[in-house]
Amino acid sequence: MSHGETEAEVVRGPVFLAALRAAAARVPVWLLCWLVPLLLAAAVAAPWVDWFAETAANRYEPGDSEAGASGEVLATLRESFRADHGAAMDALGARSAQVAAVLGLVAMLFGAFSAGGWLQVFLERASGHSVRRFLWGGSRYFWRFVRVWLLTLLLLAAVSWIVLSWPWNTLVAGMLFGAPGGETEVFTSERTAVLYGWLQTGVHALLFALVLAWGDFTRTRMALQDSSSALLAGLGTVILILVHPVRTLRPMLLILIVEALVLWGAGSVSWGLNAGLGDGGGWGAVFSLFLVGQLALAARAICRGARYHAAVRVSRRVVPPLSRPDPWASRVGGPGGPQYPIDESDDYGVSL
Amino acid sequence: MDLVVLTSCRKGVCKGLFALASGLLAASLSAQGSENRVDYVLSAQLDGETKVLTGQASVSWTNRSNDEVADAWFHLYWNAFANNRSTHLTESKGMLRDHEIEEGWGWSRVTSVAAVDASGTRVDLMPTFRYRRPDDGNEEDRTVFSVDLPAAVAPGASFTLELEWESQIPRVRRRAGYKDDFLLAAHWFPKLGVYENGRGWNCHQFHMNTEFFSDYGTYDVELDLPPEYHGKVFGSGRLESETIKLGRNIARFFAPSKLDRGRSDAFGEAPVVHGFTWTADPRFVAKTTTFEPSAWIDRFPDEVAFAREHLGDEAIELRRVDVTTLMHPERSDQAERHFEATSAALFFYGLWFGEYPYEHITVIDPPWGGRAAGGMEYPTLFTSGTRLFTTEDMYQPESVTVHEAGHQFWYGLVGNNEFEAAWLDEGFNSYTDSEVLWRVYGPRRGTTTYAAVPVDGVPLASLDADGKMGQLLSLREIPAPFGLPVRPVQSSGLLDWWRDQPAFTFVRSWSDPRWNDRTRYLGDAGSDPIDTWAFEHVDRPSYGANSYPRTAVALRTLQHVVGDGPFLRGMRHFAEEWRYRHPYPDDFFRTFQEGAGVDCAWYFEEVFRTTHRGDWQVEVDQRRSPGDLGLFQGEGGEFLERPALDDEGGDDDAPWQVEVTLRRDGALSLPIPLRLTFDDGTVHELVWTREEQLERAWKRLSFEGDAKLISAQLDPNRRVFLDADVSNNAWYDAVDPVTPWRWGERVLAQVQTYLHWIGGLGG
Repeated sequence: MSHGETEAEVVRGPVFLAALRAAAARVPVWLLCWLVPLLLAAAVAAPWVDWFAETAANRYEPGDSEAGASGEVLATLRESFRADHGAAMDALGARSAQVAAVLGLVAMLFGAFSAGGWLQVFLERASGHSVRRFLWGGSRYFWRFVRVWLLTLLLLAAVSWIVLSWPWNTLVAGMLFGAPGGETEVFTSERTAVLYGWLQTGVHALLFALVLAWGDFTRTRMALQDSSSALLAGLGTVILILVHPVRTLRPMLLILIVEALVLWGAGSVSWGLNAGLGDGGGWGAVFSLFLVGQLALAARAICRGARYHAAVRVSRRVVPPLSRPDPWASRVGGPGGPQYPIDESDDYGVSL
Repeated sequence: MDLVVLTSCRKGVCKGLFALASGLLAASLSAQGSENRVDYVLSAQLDGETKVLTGQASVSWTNRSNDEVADAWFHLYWNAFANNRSTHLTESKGMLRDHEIEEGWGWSRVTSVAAVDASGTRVDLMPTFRYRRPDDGNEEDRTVFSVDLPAAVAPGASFTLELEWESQIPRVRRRAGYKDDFLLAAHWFPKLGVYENGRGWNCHQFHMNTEFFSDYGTYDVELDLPPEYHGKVFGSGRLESETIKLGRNIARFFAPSKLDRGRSDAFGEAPVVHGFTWTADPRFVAKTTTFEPSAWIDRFPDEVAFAREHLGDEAIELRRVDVTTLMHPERSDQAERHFEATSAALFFYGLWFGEYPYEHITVIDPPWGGRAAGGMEYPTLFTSGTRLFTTEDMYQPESVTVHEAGHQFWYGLVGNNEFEAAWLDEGFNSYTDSEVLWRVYGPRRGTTTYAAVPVDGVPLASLDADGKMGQLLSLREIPAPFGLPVRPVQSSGLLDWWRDQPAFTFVRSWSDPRWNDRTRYLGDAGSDPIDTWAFEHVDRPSYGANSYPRTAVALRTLQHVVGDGPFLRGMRHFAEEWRYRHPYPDDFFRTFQEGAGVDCAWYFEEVFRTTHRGDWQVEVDQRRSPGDLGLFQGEGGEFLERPALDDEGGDDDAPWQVEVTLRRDGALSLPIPLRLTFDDGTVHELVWTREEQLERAWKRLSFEGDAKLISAQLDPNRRVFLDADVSNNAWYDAVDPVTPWRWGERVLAQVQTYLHWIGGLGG
């Protein structure tokens, strides 16, 4: 890889694989993307640690972790613990939820920021100064991507309304399935009701993912064309996805599958560790649990970066460059050099 | 007008009797029992299209009270579902099992009532037919009616009434009704109330918070159904014959079965029942398996030995019972689990409270859409309920099946008045089913359901922010003009699962059903005493908490107070004494103490008839004894410093001063054991007695010595389930440093995963 080539130009192989490799190689960038939610979440988790320390204090037997036993607290919160401290836990949970909601807003804005960062990294040269370019890209595209975020929310609201509300209940549930209003108890079997539910939630999830993919390509398009209209870029992306559905969505789907597989594998390990706490686990088990969870989240951060790499690579091939008037058409001289007046109205000047 | 006066008087008398003289009077009345006998001969024809049932009944009743009885009162339960002005639907605010009732109404209309004497002479009683509203005077309620008898029936004499009626079967929303071709006909015929010595007819309206009460007897039933139900109709007792005649399916039942009527149960009595319920569905898959007590006796030798020790060998005289499960094909693979759960109930309840005396029991799993018929008990037949994707440790359907099967004992064999003391069966059954579930299935696994699929574990904290701002920030509801629904993030199974990532964020949850009873009791611990009429609780949560888990918790704590053996003997004695009879609370209190051989009247009075609660706690203050500091007056009168006894010792060798303080909050006083463990292995055990607690709400114990206290445990074996807060029952010298981080990690993972997901919406 020579200095000056862009990341998307030098990586070879299947788009999704190349994207994952490229994103994984940007260690400082995905570390940053992993770290920010971790620090935000720590603000919510810290009061819980304090609360458990104060609540357990001298009241529960240390190391008493036998699953199902009356004295068990470490492995699972026993029934009586949840009953005795239910009100306090509910109150703490309510406060955490409020804070998490605010942090959710921060996380979405950071998402818009990091999208710009990833795109700057992948659209520029292939190596060196990743974090600086990430921060530069994040701030450069931030307000444009905030507009994309707002459009995304509107589209998601439309998707939710169509699939989970009146249109679905009338057209699909009522007319296709004979269950007006989505009232599934009219079905003669539970299996039918379950399959119907899976269809509905599956369609919702699919459209949800599609909107997110649309957002990725829209942001990439705006970055590639250095355009500022989220609406126009969004419309262009709709056309792009309709014209090239396989080319655009396949890498996104494959990255999603990789992410799901990683989560499945790491999730199995994590749940196993969680279950193992019942057999007298201590610091080691708790730290392992933390480590596996953080590795999975880091992998997810890499996958998110990979989506932008894939979007850049696909968009470079299928998104036409934006037709703009040549700013130098009426000038003599090129950018960065001296500019010569060609008519009387022009002043002589030097471009800096 | 007369009716209104009569109604008011009656209500006043009933309440007066119980409120003012509940102790002695109620005891003396019910001690004689209400052992009237009623035998029904029923026949009914079903129009399969309209779901209209036409029926005829012959009701023979024997007066075993000391009163002359001049009238007869009947229930017409299905009229509770006739309109939204019935007492039942008024009380439930028009909702039945979370479903607003707007269609599928059901009703019953009596078209003929006649008295028939021994010579066959019929006297039309319809001119005296009157709807009654003994509880609330609601003119729109048609769930009770009465007729005047041609002549008063003397003690020991009988009457026979012949009735005809017509019913519209309701769409099943609670207890009874239809869903597609599935039918559950419960309390479907005019059912005679219970005449009580000195109190008259006990025949309450059908309330939201009431169930059923009727006399014991026999039922001979003939059902005339469309032919598609051939081989698919089941009922209480035994099906004696089923034939197709003139294109109709004619099914004949006897409850109890002919075989049962000819035998005596383990206590020497002929089995009888107090109701008849039937069900039919062309799609039923029926499977019959025999409950073999011997297999269970081998499986639980310790339980059997304990029962033998306290009840004698007759405790294990249990009969073989045919268990028929009825399910739709899609769930029929769970038939074995229903059978296992039913067998568990037949074994343990039988072991503790005496054998199930009938040869047969039927388990109905209502089909999809018929769930409202589920979870209900009827003589020798009950409805359970299950779902797809369940495992045994989720207790679905095990908990419902054990509970409803258990009702064959508490309600079926011991026939208390569910209107007035529902806790005598629901609470006793809740106590027993939790004991059975714990023994057979262990702890219940907590799950979270996504798109109908249960996932292991539960979230530690809910991250659904409340309030408009919370909804806005979490994108669940964004305010928009014209009421437009702007909800970018709406709950949807698959999406929720991907957002939550349960494998990384959830906690395992195991629940002990016995402690779960306590959790549910604490949900509404103070509104009403346990001993409250079912429909006079302040609301449904109070009825639910008192009648079910609170009674269970009170019994389980009683077990601690009197001891396991006496408790078992007391309960067994009550179950034996009141088999096929109608006990009231005082009957239980008295009979239990007789059987247990323990005087615990104070417990019943305080726990069952007040809302007293108790919270016992322990506090420890432990320190090294400080050396002598300051100036002490010597023999010469001067104040001088005292020299240290051991110059080389220092504070580390000073004796430990230990102060243990026990406290009681709340009005309830119970004996509570205390265990103190010292680091030299010494263990002190003592009981903080009820008498001490009545004198003073605290107790202080002081120790001084070389041994350091390492733990102080009140109720160390966790037997006082009534304790309102057990988290302050113990003190340990050592502190666990891991636990706070263990749970902090879960919250961190949960929030971080959420932030990662929602951050993705931004880019």
